Amino acid sequence: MNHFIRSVLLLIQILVFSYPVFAEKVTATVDATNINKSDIFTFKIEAEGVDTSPKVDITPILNAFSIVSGPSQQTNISWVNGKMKSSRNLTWTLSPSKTGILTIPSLKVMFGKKTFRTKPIKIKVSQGKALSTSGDLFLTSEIDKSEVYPGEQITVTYKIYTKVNISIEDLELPKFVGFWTEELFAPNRIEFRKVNLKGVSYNVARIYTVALFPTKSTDLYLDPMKVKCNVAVKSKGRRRSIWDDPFFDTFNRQKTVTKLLQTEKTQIKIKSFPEGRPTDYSGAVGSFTITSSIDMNSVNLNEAITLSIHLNGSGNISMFSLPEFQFPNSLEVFPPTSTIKKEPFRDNITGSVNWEYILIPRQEGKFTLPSVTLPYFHPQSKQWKIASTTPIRVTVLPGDKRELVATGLTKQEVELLSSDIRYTRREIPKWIDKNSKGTALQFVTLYSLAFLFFLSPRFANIFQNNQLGTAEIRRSKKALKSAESTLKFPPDNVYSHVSKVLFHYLKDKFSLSTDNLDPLTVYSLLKGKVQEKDLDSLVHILKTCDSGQYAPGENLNEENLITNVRKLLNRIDKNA
Amino acid sequence: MHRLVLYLLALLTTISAQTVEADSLFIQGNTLMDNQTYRQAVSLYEKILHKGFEHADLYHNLGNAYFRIGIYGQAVWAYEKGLQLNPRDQDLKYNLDITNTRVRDRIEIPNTILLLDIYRSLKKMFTLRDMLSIGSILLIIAGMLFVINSLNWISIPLFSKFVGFILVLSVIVHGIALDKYFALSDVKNGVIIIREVNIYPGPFLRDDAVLFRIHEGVKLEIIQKQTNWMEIVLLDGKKGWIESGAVRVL
Repeated sequence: MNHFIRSVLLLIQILVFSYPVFAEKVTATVDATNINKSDIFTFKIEAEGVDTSPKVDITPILNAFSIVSGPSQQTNISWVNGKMKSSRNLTWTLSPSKTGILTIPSLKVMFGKKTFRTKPIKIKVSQGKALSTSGDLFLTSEIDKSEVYPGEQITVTYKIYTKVNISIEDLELPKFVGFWTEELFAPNRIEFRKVNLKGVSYNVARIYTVALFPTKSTDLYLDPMKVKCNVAVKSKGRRRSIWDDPFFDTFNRQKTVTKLLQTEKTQIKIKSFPEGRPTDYSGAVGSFTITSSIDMNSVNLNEAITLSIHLNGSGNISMFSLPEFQFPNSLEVFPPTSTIKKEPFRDNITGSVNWEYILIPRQEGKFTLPSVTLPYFHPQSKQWKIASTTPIRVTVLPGDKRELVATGLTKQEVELLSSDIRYTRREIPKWIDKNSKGTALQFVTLYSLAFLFFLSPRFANIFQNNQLGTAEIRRSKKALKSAESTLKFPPDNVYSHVSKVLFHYLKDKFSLSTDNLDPLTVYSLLKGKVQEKDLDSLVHILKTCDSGQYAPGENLNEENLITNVRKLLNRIDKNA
Repeated sequence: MHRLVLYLLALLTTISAQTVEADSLFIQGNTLMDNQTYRQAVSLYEKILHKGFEHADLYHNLGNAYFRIGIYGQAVWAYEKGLQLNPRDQDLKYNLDITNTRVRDRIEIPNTILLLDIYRSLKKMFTLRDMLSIGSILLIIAGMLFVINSLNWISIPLFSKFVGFILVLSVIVHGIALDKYFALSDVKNGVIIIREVNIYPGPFLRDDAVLFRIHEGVKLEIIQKQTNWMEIVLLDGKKGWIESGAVRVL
């Protein structure tokens, strides 16, 4: 495997160096190789002859160093002997997290698809001379307790001690994993004052104070606090010159060094609670007193009273709530509102919590608001304690208007309360039989009536069509009758009259058309419909009529003709 | 044939005899109401109901009697029942409103769409009989106009469209009637008649499993019935099981 990596590296090197057009080169440099633990240094990766930003995987160095700032990017372009030379830099500010000889391992640098490797760099980190950390400048964390119960307060104060002039550049707070935190002191401006520490005078400044409440029952760790500060140092080893005069000191002889100060990681031991934990324990640790009060001891029915429960004391007041408790059933209870007040400028978190319940009695009489109890743990005496209120007696009087309820009514309902129900009905009603189903008939009639209306035009249509269709048949049936009745009253010209009657009859009887009727057409049309003998005599009579009509000289017996015609018509009608 | 006539006569006389009895019970009940002996009045009125007769006025008086002796659950039941028979009776509505102010639980009905509200109140305002009467009369009017139209007796423009409009109106009325019919046959309502009652998650008594507690006069919908138990849903959607004895079915 190792062999394989080496050969791959060789291959990469060959590729890199044999690349003909641009002399691409990647170098990694640091600005110091011999440092103290509290020092910071600059790590720079410089790439020449490239035109894209490099990508660097920095994770391999993180186990020996931590990043203070960076990466920052820089691009340089310069002209040397008419040739353009461009380089891109990536710069980190690092601080060592161990002492000894540390190595910045070979890092992978990527430009697009090309990969380069930097050379590893060794850095010697020493514990540091007295001057830099423990002597002239250091950061302390003062923890008031190292063993606490869950929920008990720990106060941590961070202070910075210095003999030299410093300015704080950045302050990184630890994350306080596993703690509920309440910030006690966080100054906007850091103020130094002089103290004497073991005979040495220091400038000391409190930079942060926090109250921590463990939320877990396993041991917890306080992460280190990190402070980055600029220290003014006198430069040494300079050659004497004419400027080396106290007068110029202010200009030249100071230089600033950035230092990273951090505290040690500290373990906090969490003790377990002693036996006898109350069942309704809700997490209160500290020392508390609890009182309850009511705004009125006697109240009218349906009027609201306010029960306020007041908790006072020091401890983790924002981490627990009141245990649930039972109100008498005759009370309507609205969910409580709570207000928390904390007293500032106290190192122990102290304050008060106020819960307000609105109660509305719905029954008359006397009743007792029960005692409210809050079990808590008192860490100083290592004992479970119970804070409780005294029960309160309340008298509920009947109100003026018995039913007037203060809440939940609309305007209309409030108005209704003052009036009474409408009075008894006197009139004897027409009883409805619950079991009868007699109403159906009425609707059956109504619906069938409606149905009939919808159907009636259709019936009317059918009737009308029928009338039209049977007109001829009816006429043919009536033909004989009308013919006979017309024959009874012969006018002067008998022949034309008889012929008219005859044609009319034939037309009606056999549904012939009136036009173009003459004896010959009658004969051809009626052949087969009328007996041969009758047809012959009919044609004969018609011919006689025609001749009589147009030749008045020929005198035939008129009476005879009419009786003959009547007989003939009766015969035809019978046989047809 | 003779026998049938006799039988019908006998039936008629018994019915009239029964109504006469109901009449006298009603009159007696009213006198008891005047004498402020409401409990006896209640028993007389309930007797009429037991005989199988009902009327909006009877429910009105029964509700009043229950109201006077402070049994608000039964009063709500009686007024609701009366409103079923005569939905537009203002007195019944008024008395029901007053009684509801004395009901302990105030159940907020969730807001619905305005149109749906209008439709519901429309449905509530008319009984099934009313709707069928209106619908059938509209249908008859439409039929008559149809006849006139098809015989071409009068020629008014848009006359056939008017006929169609009345027909559509009638169809809508019938649709609402059908909806009401299904609602009446499917959904049963009830009223709590016991002062305070527990609602359980299932048809069993368990003190540790009480879902919620309601008081008399609360109107509810019955989803299903089992022996001695009913599954109910309140107007705001809370569901649970209740012992049948605590509910009077509307």
